[in-house]
Amino acid sequence: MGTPLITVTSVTYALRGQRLLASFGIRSKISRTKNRSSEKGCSYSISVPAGKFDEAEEILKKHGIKIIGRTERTDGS
Amino acid sequence: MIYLDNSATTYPKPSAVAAAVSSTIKASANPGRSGHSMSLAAAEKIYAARRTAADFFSAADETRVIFTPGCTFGLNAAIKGLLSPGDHVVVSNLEHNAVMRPLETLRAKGIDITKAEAFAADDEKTVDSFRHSINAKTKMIICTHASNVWGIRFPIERLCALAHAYGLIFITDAAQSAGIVPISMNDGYDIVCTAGHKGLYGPMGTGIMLLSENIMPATIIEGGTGSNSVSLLQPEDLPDRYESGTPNLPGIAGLKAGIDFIRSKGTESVAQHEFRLIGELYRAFEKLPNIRLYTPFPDPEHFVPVLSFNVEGYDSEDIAAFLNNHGIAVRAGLHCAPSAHEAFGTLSTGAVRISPSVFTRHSDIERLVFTIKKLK
Repeated sequence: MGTPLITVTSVTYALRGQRLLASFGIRSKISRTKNRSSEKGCSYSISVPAGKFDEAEEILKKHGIKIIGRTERTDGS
Repeated sequence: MIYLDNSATTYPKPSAVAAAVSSTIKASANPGRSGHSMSLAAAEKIYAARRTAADFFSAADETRVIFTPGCTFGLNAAIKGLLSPGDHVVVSNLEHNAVMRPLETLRAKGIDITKAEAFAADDEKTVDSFRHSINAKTKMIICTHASNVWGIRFPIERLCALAHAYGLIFITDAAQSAGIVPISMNDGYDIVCTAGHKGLYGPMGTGIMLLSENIMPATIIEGGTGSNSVSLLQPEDLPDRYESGTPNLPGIAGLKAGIDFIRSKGTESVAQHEFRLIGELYRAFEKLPNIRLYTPFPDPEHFVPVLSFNVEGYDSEDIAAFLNNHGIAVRAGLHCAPSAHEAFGTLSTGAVRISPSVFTRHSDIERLVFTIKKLK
């Protein structure tokens, strides 16, 4: 099972999302999204612990953060 | 040098501002563009500044804080992004050219403008003047929060309510008030534009445009945002929509330090200090028969701590040059606000403007009065 990645439109939303998740006790990391995981081009992703994927996505959506992709990173990068 | 030109830009800046700028220049990458640690750290700095500004102005959220190269840029973005040919706008008669020049450009494209008269220390008459200027085609009221020449403070909460009662957009230019007068987006303003380098003590080249949740001007600048880059259309997401191009990270980091400085001092305490100094100056000038004052005694409800005057028999620029020769920096002339001078009959003479800061001392004002008394 890979690392869950939630893709958002910009670094501002990634940082906002990271802060929001932290307030719910979910640790996360921000990284640049690989183009293949987004049809829109440059974007940022928030990686969350396995098992927190759905919860994190729900929190972000509920707080108005637009999610443009959901993937799992499996290459170990 | 005794520096009394803080309405142009505050000087000196707090040491924390210089430190923030310096440390950011020494170690920063382009924020929001790359995935390496330095770029992400830079993005975190911008985000922290955005949160600080959002908190300071009670913005709906930090994405509604748009960093601009100055107040003028923000006003241009707001005005040109919202008006269309056939629209009518009401402005005060004390606006800066940051408002009047974009409007004049739009006048050639079919925008109509009415100037509402300001009545110093009489909010009822000022609000009435705006009310009577509204017509069926009015789309927007734009009003400076405080005149950069006369210090006259407008009742923007009431003018905003008036605008909304008529279904109009309300924009305010807070270049001279932010950091001295509390400003809250909770009061319903559609757009607030301000400089970062005046009462917020940030570096020059910084500004903020605050957007309410219900407003989305068309863009006047498009370009790279580090987001949604496959599309040639400008992103809709904020703040990217209005922040194309590499941001002024050192400036924004400095602006955050400036806002932190003001918060640590307290806006009310800063205002009290500056009003005490301007009040002393006013009382001293009142006693000099060759000094011409144009406004009533500046009370905090109706003014910001800025005072302009003239000396009988002298051009305002001559007074500024005389003071400069005696080690005192002030600004004379028209202050980029010919409309404000026209309203007070000083378009041909200009005026000498005194604007203190949190760093101005009582002795600085005494020295100014002492020096002015040398003029015969």
